[in-house]
Amino acid sequence: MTDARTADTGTVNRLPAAGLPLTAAQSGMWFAQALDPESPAQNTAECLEIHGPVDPEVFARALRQVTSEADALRVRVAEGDGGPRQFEIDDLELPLHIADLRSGPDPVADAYAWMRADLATPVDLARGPLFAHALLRVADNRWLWYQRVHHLVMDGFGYSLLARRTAEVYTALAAGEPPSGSPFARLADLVEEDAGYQVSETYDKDRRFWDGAFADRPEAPNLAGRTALPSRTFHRRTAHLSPLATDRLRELASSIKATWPEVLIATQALYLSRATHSSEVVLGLPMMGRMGSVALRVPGMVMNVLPLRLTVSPSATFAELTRQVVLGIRAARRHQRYRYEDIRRDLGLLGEGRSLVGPLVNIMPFDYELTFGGARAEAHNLSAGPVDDLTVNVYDRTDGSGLRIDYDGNPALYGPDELALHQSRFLELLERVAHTGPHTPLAVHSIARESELAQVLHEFNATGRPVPASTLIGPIEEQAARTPDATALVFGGERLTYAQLNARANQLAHRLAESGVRPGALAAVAVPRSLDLVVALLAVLKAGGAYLPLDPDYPADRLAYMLADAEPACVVADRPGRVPATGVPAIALDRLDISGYPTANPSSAPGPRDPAYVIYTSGSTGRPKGVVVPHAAIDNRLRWMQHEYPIGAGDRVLQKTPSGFDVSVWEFFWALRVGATLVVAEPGGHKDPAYLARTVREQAVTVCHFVPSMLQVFLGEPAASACTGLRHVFCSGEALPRETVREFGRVLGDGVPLHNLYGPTEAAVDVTYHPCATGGSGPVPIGRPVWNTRLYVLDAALQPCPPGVPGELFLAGVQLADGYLGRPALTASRFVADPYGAPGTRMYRTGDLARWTADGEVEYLGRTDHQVKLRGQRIELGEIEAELAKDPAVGASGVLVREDRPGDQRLVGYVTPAGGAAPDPAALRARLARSLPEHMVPGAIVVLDDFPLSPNGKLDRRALPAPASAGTAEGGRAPANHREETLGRLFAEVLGLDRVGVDDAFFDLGGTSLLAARLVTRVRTTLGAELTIGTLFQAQTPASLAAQLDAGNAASDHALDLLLPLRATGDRTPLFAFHPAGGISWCYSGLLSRLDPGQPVYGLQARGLSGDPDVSLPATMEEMAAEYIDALRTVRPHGPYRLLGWSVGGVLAHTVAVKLQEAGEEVELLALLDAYPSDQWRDSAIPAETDALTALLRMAGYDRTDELTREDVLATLHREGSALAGLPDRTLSAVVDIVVNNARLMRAHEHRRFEGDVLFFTAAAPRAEDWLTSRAWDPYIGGRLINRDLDCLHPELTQPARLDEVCAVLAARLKELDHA
Amino acid sequence: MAAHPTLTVEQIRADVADVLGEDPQDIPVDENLVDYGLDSMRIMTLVERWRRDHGTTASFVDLAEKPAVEAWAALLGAVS
Amino acid sequence: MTTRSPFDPPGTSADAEPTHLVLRSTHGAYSLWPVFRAVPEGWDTVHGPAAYGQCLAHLQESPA
Repeated sequence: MTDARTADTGTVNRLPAAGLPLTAAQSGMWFAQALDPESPAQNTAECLEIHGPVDPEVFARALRQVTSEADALRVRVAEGDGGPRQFEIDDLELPLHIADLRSGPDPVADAYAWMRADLATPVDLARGPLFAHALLRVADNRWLWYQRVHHLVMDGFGYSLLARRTAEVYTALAAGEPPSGSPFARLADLVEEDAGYQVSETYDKDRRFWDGAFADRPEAPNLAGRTALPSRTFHRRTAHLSPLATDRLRELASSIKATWPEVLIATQALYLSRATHSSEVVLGLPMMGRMGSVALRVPGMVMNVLPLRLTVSPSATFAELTRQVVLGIRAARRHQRYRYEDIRRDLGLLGEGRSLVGPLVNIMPFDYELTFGGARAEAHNLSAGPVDDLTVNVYDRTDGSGLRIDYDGNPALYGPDELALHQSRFLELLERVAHTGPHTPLAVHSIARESELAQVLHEFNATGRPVPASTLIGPIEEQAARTPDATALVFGGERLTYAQLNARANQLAHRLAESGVRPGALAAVAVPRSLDLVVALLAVLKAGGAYLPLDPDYPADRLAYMLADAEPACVVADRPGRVPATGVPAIALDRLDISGYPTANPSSAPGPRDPAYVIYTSGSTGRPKGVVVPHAAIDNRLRWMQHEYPIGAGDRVLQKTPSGFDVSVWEFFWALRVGATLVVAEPGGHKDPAYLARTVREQAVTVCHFVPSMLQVFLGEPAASACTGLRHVFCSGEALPRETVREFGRVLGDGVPLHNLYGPTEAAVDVTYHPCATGGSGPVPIGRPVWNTRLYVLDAALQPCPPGVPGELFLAGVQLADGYLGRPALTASRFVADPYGAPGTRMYRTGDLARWTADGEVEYLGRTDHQVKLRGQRIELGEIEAELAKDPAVGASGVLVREDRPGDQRLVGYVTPAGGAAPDPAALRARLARSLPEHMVPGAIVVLDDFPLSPNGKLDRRALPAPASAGTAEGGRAPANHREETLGRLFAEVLGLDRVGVDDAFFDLGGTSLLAARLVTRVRTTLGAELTIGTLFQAQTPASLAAQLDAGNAASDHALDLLLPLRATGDRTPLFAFHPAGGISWCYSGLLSRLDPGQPVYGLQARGLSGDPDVSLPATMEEMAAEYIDALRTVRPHGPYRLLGWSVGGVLAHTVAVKLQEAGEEVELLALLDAYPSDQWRDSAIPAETDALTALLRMAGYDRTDELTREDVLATLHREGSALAGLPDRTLSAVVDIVVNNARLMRAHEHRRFEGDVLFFTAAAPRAEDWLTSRAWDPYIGGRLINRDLDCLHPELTQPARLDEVCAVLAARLKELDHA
Repeated sequence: MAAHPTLTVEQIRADVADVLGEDPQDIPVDENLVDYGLDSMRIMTLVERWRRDHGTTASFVDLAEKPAVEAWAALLGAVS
Repeated sequence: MTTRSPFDPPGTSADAEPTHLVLRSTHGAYSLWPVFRAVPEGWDTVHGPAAYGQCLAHLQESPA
């Protein structure tokens, strides 16, 4: 260290002519300024208030002297070779502004205005000077000495050196004495010492330390919850901690072997942690960094920011937290020379705009007891430099005024009021900490102010309201007595009055009571939406029991699980077989005769504490759990609803939500309690926006509910805008986007109110409500609590969060469920003691993140765990992951909700192999579909070799890849040769598509036999290859067809085989379709594109189609049936079987079904398309050839016009491009013979009884054979005949337009069976 | 005016240990105390304590220049 | 937001620590409770302080 003390004030220690490099600290400042050269943010300034006389002349001389001693003041900084350098300014004149402001009305204000204006002036670094002074006289004996220096050359410690030296020199000069020698060392010494460090081993050690300490790149939460670019200014709020608290703080610090700054830092960490709902926080601590360094004697820029990681947990004590701070700073201090900016660069945070630290806590304890010629001075900081986020500047001027605490905030992140709020909370927290023993857990502290506690605990929750001790069912019975003739229920064309509904429900209730349904017991209800569903629910409640709704669409495994878990007294279903047999007594409504039961209200009424319903929700570890809701809870909810949105006799509530979803509860019961009408939507209708719009209009619905994603779909339906008759629309189940609210206003106008409600199943449907303003902005709140309900937003210590601070939402009050059925440990961990309610009461933890607004509404912020809502359905990702992991081929599993296209959310599963062969996504999906409800089966499953991991070894969900689009033409492979390519093009041409991939199946894409014929022709003319339709049935893709052509197999005749594999692939139970009169089953190819791609379909065709004269036709239908059974058993040796037939095929199907049953097999589907039993035909003549020809035409889909001969018919077929025309003549002849034979066999056949239901489709348009009726099947069907009329003639049933309708019903039934 | 008791090396060690929350045995006499956690705040606490109790006149900068027990002993005229 | 709920299992480093209690209310309900908060009025401690898993096991045996 050079000794540069000299008494000669004239000697100037100039910088070398070539200037000096910048130190690392200065470089940091240089680059920060370069980001925004016009920004004055790096001006720092201080003002010393001098109480006494000041001689400006002398002061100026003192300043000149100090300037000559402090090298850093005399530099300008400009780009040189190899980067920026600092140069001596030539002919520097002291920038000193002297002003007498005493004449103005408010000299001090004027002075501060001047100072602020100067502070806001950007500095030209290349020219300089980088500092300025002002002496402002504001009173006779009061002067303000203003000093402004650019942060690139000066830091806080440097200011204190300058201020002290200036006071010293001025005092000496004012006394006429020579000042002591300069105490300062040279800037060059500082630069040299810094340069030495940059190449030292210590530098490497320090770098390794920091890069290691932050290797996991932790999030550094801040109070604003977001980051912003540095602003050009900052907001400052100044406050003081009381002298008493300041003293207590010092004593407290001493008692735990810490200093008061460490205590203050610990308190800030506590505040930050609770205010950001984060247990891991990072504070930035500016350090003077001059210990043991020449820097102690050089006014300059040396300071560095130390990042300090802390873990704040509620169970730790304040003493422990402070010790963490002490030891953390101690460890960091050993490596404090490594620059903060360099740590950020090393970690790659610069590019991402991510911060390394949250707030800065800047302790400035420098002793400023200065006197200027005897006059004492007080220092006031005006700016401590740029503010990226929030800097807490703390001053201890030891003058007995207590700590001064300035909050400097980035205006882009904090408004002045917000800043003030954080500051006052922090000060109150400091006061509390100062007066609390440091060995109690931190959990004893809340960061809310007293006034805020009163708000969030009491004012916002003042929802107490006396409510009679009624139940869900009591008011319904009372209403029935008041308005017995009013319409209670509407379903399609059916209606029930209150009296009728009440009577039916009562009768069923009495029957249920016989099965043990009573208060405290459960009755499962598995009835599709219908009048019967409402009757069943009411009946259970009337009998005193609680209903357990079972969604008929759930897979059998899940239903069986729920029944075994809940152990209801019985299951009420619409028909037998609706739910799997589990030993629970089943009551099938279609078999039940309740006419003998009393119609009076049963006497076994439930009480308010009895359970009303049990609804199952997804479980995070794989097992769904039943939530038990008592009458008092749901009664409160419905009474509140009626009060808030009064409805009455003219209102009609739409019931569309599946009964397993608790929103349905108010849909079912609200209207019936107040004399309104309940309109029940048809099953499946809730997913069809056109149907909903039509129903709302036609049924004059005034009240309905939508899950927000479904509302969005509904608003897109053109007919929705006509639904202005609605009086209330409710949304709940997911976050309601503001854009949807706006769209609602656009589509339906301001006359239809939209309400946002929120609540988990565990709190009787909804606990909060918010009326939506269509012109509003910002997130849509979930609103205020309903009657007798309290909301708490709690932090990690279960302390109340003040408004604006996020925490976990807890619910309390009368609407809480009793708990989870049979899960005492889970119940006790989610329904916990309420420290803020009446003694002994509970609160439910939702797992939702939320915050209070300033005016008492709650905003939903997201989840704290892995539960998600997808289209309103609650899903625990863990449950799906557990199911995936059960598969032996799966090693690890993860499930995400992805939104790769905005607005399109889907579940995607990820698996890694268990070690052997890679798991098959399709098989996994099929597995999941067997045990999970449809909405929980991921749309795609991606197999990865390994999961991406975050640095701490956990699954990095953000790094999981988007699944490749399951496209056909988009994602498929390219054609391998000319033939494939040509065939693909021909397919597209014939099918009317833009593109067809080489692996796309013809019939899956909508191909029909007609189009197949066309394709055959095109292939012949384009490729010159002979292709038959039969080959197309076997090789349905361009790729496989090309292979067949190559192998010369194209002209095969497998199309006429007894067993025709229309689609041989797929994992569902195969569907066997029986040929109509002509013996050919090609007409069923239309099913392929209309049924699930995983549904195999086989056609049974007549023996003898080849036209081989040695093959005889069967003699009886029994013989035919037996032969077909042998054939289908080659594919499926045992049942259950699915059978379908059109026309004669239907009769065959029935015959086969009977025989299978007689053989002990199960037939789970028998579908007849306009087929009639033999006795309906017996009296009509056996067809002659002309009839057969007519039949042939009909089979081809045309009605007989005037073709009389075989030739005529063939010509017609050719002309119409019928596929049949491609058949050889001997086959066509055979067909005629087969038609005749079948007709004969059918008339001779004696039917036996099929035990089961039949799905029947009637071609209901007027026809010649007007005696045909499906009732003719009655003696031959043991179950029900479920009929659907189609407005068409018999031959049209397998044409595309009708097939749509037929297949809609068929597909739905198949799906039910798939999941049974 | 009462005379202040003279500062001893052992007292220096004990006071340093006290502000650090450590055992005086663990405080070395010849090593940089910054490495043991001594910071400017604690140095200022010591400056004030020694001024009050022993009438020393060294400033913060004086002590911060060479933060080691031995160096301070010399600076403050402490006796062994 | 890295805070863990006091009613969820603590991290593996703390899972053997006696961090929780089992409470029973005057109405007969049970509740898991963290040791760091005072037991609310109307509730008594019936088990613990004990490890989280132990408290759950104790709750499994309690009358539902």
